[in-house]
Amino acid sequence: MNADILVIEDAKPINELICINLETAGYRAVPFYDGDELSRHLAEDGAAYDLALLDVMLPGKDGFTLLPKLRERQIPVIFLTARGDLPSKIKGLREGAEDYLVKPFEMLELLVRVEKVLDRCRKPEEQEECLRVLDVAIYPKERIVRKAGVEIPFKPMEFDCLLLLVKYKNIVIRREEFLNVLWGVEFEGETRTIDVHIARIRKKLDFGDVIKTVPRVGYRLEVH
Amino acid sequence: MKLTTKILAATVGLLFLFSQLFSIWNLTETQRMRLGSVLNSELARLNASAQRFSEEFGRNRRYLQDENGERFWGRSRFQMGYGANAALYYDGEELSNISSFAFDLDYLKEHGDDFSELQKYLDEGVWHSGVSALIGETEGRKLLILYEPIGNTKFELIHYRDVTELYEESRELFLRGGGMALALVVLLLFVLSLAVRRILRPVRELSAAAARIAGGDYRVRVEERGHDEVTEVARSFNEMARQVEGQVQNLAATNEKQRRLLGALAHELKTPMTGIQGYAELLQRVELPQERQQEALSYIEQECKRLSRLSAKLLQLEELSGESGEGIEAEKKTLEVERLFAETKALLQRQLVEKGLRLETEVGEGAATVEGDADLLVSLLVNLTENAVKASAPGGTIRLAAAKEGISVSDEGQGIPQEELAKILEPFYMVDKSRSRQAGGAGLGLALCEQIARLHGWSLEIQSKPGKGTTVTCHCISGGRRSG
Repeated sequence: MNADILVIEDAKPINELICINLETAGYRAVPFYDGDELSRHLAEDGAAYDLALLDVMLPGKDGFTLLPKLRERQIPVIFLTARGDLPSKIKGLREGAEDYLVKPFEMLELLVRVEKVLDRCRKPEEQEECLRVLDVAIYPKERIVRKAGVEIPFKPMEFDCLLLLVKYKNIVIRREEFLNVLWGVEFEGETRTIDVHIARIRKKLDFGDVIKTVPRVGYRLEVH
Repeated sequence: MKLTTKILAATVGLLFLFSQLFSIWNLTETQRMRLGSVLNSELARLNASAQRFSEEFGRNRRYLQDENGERFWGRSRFQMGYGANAALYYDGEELSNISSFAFDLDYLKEHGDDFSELQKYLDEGVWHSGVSALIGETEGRKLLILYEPIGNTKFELIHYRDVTELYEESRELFLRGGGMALALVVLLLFVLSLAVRRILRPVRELSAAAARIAGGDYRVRVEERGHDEVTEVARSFNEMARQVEGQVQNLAATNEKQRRLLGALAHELKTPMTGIQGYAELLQRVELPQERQQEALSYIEQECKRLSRLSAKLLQLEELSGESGEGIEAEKKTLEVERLFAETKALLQRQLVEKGLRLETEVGEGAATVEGDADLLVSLLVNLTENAVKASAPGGTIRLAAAKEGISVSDEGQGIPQEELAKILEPFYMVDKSRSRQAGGAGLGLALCEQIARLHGWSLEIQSKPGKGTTVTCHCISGGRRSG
């Protein structure tokens, strides 16, 4: 999950918010507040970045001007903007942005999009084969879970729930988000099945303290 | 049916009808005249013949013993001197007739025509009691036949004259005239249709223009040539088109303004919404350190406050910008400028102190009072001064001044670039978006000020030099006029 992400957004609270989100998910965020500052930084500093979250309306150089500079440096770009109209979206994507996110956005949506773009742009040998939490190792491709080297049998739905919690550790996953991932549709109604799955996961991995219940919201896998 | 066709049909039809009626009447009269003259000469000839025959018979009578003798004398005498176009009868019996026609005397005597319509063409006395005449038709020829018994004898005389030609000539004339008239009518039709088309062309143009206007092309105008009624209609039409175009443009402009305002508002709402939603979600999902939690909460509070300020200002702007609502006209009262300045200063005290700014006030001669609505005027001054506070660097000075030309608010701040000056009165327009937003602005202040000035019938003047400062003057004292 290691990645350096540029956050270019002029409104300071929003910039901070995005940075906190990214850092919580385990990325390193580098904030910039205006276009000129960023382009100066890119010219001077040779540091490699894995991704840029770019606002369109910026003081100094705007997002569309900055896009080619970022692409020159092989930095994939996700546009982050209040402009939700189709022409702006098309323009952004045509000019080479990897994705386009309209404000206001939800935290998980931001993180999922960031993750997808990083996955897509990462070289195959860099792709992680295994996610680790404490003494538990999860192999997403093989769909295997090992605790202290011992394989533990998981049902498909339990595995998916675990994967979601581990991928976005320290962030509460809402029950409806679990359902979304499990069934792939907006599911409204009985969310108690999730509680059953979580209970089983806790039992199997002895994660009673690691997976926290947040009342009326969902579950959070806490690792510090 | 088209107007052109109607006019043409009526004109040409009537013309043809009248010309033919006249031609018929004319020909009839001519024919009568000619027939009359023929009748007259024939009657004269008949009278003369009868007279001569009667005299000669009188001289020879005594030599003739009996009726046969009279018959013989009559026939030979008649053939020697009277034969042309005539026939002689004796006591109803044909004595001599070299024509190819046979005449029925009894019919002649009974059905004699009185030719009353021809009397005026006859000489006095030619028509006398014994004569009977008619126009008969035999073997395809028309004959004028005259009959007269020769007085004191049993002789009867018939004269005839072939008048077929006369009738045929009339007919031919009639036909020729009709053909001519027809040809003229066709020519007339052609010329008239061109003329009418020309006359009606402006009307057609009007109709086409009206159709285009109905179709949404409001720039259409018609040509106003000449001085006739159609031109007057064209002039009125153009005037109407001008009005319609003006109205439509006004509507479009208002619509566009509202659309822009709405778009700007939606966009303006997105930034605080993103922050509020994002921080609320963050608080809910992530166990943040105490300090971060406090930051998130205070940000949420601050943005909510900003939104409520924004909505308050929007409401005020909306109320003030109503075009026809009641109670919108500014209430005019005499206000003391000194007091307005003091009130403004009091309302902004905290912000002034925070930034370490000095607020100077100056009331010039003849500018001690102003006519207007106290609340609106304070709002105007507060908004202008707030802008000045935002633009000023810490430690700067802001001046509120009242002079003859109006009340002005000056700062020594960053100023406004020349090219932005035209746009700053638009709602939500901010010269430096991120800075203004951090300073808590919504981009509505100046729009509101302008609205307030407009309600009082005043104007706002903005002078600015980047790096030197800005002065906004409200021409409200001597330049003020009553708002309508």
